[in-house]
Amino acid sequence: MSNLVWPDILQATWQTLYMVGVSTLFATALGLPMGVFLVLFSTRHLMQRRVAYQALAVIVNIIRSVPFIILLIAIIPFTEWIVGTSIGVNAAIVPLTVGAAPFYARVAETALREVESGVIEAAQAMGASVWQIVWRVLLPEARPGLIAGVTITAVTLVGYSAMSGVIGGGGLGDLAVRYGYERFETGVMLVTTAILVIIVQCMQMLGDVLVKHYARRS
Amino acid sequence: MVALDHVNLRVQAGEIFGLIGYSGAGKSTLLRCVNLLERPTQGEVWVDGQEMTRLNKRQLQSARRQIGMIFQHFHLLASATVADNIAFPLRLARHRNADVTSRVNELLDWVGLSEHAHKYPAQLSGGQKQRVAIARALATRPKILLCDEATSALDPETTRQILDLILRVNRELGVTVVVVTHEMSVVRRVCDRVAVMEAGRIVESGSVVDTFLFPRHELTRRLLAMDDESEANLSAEVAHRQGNRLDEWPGRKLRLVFRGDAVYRPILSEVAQMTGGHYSILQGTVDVIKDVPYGRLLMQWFGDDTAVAQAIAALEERGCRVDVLDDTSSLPVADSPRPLDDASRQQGSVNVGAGAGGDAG
Ligand SMILES: Nc1ncnc2c1ncn2[C@@H]1O[C@H](COP(=O)(O)OP(=O)(O)O)[C@@H](O)[C@H]1O
Ligand SMILES: [Mg+2]
Repeated sequence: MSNLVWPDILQATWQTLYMVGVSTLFATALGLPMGVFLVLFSTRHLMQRRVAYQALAVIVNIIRSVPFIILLIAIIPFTEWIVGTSIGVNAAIVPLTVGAAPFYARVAETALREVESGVIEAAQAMGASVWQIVWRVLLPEARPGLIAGVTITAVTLVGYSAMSGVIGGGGLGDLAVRYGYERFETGVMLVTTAILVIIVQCMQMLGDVLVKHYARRS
Repeated sequence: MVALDHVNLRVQAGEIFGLIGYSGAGKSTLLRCVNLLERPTQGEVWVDGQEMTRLNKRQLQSARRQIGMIFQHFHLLASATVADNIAFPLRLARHRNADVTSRVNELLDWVGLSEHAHKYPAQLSGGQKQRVAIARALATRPKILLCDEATSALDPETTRQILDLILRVNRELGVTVVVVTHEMSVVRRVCDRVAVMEAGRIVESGSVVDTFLFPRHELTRRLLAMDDESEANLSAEVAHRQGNRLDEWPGRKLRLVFRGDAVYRPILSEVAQMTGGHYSILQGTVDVIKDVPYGRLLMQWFGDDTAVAQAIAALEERGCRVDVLDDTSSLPVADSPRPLDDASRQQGSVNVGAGAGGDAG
């Protein structure tokens, strides 16, 4: 394994962290409101809306059932429209976000549904509006689950980001495929994989610490 | 499916009103109609002179701040400290931070939880959690407190403490209280008036003392039978046991029930002297329910039928209710005159008064 590879590895590590970090942020920001509405619109909940719930659920299900590699290519026009190009790290963030947001929406939905209906009712009895209940009851009470969901989403995005090499997104996964798979440079493949493992481990540990911090209360 | 049917309920300002019945009777549903957590399909709900059923969303939200509510399972925010839980309704109502802090401290002190202010609900006992819930319910200084099986998840000693606290809420703060329960002992401890519910209807209602001493409906008697100090436990068995020994003497077994002033007057000796009769007390209770003294005695009245009849007439004249227990294994059905309650004749209405509470104690 030549020394010339190290700068590449360093750059790829940075690219992976950047792609995963930014797309986790966006996916959470998009997925959380989707999750909130999935809960609010559902039967017997605060804003029961049968049609709206079904529409949202179908969109989420469709995106989640498309294999990421296909999504990546299929939304190229959309990506171009958003970032002005369909190539590179920034371009990769768009499909990563689109792919992960519905995933996080479902995770958030599950976490929010865990909030006891009695607690919501108590808030209603105190004169809380729907949005006060969302901000002051649902989100704080579901916080451990919501944070655990962010961790799962970030880890999933590490996997997705490996495929972003297809559109020149770069990153460790891409490097591993190019050196290891195409040029049989097993060393590079092992090192990049090891770095990926470490990244995933660190994210999981950070997530667990946060969950533990908030779950201590319940 | 009909959960409540033809229910007319009027709660007076400043009183503690009980709703009792077995599980599934519709007590919670009726209670939830008061703050419209449950919206009745027909009928109207009035609280403190305001027709709740006609308010728009925003008006209803502010009306609900005048009605506190506590639950069997507390329903506290697990992610918030005791202090933040109590502050919750104040923050919802957008009170200023300084006001919130001082009000929370005041309430913590009032329910005796000051040293637990920074704990989370998971670190508290059931009784402490219910205290937090009560403090939270009182934060916005409501005129009414609704309690849905508030002591049903607690042990007897903690139940007593929470009921005492509910009495304090009523007496010291003048808050009108509606208590839902399946236990007659809860009603006896705290309530002024009570309604007995079955299958979405009120089958009997009136003052607690009257309901307790002179139950009219079969369901009320069954509920009373589960209560240690109640009617059915002026037990037929004791009467029977002692009665056998008394059989050699001529006379009748009587059950006397009296309330109010009658408790303090020398009724028995007066009547015995007047009729030249004699008596023997087999079992009895003289006690007080919510400031009303009452007595219940099971006794043998000696003499022939004429003498006994004379004594019974004299006792009834003095305000006692007398039942003759011929066969001691079955208590006769009571059908005494009872003060009628003032339920309105409207179809399906709930009316909870408030405001003029003051010091009821
Ligand atoms: N909105 C409703 N419509 C129809 N039935 C209801 C409704 N709410 C509750 N019920 C039913 O009415 C019955 C009474 O319930 P509930 O008020 O909880 O009784 P309790 O509190 O006396 O145990 C239950 O069988 C319940 O399933
Ligand atoms: Mg109930």
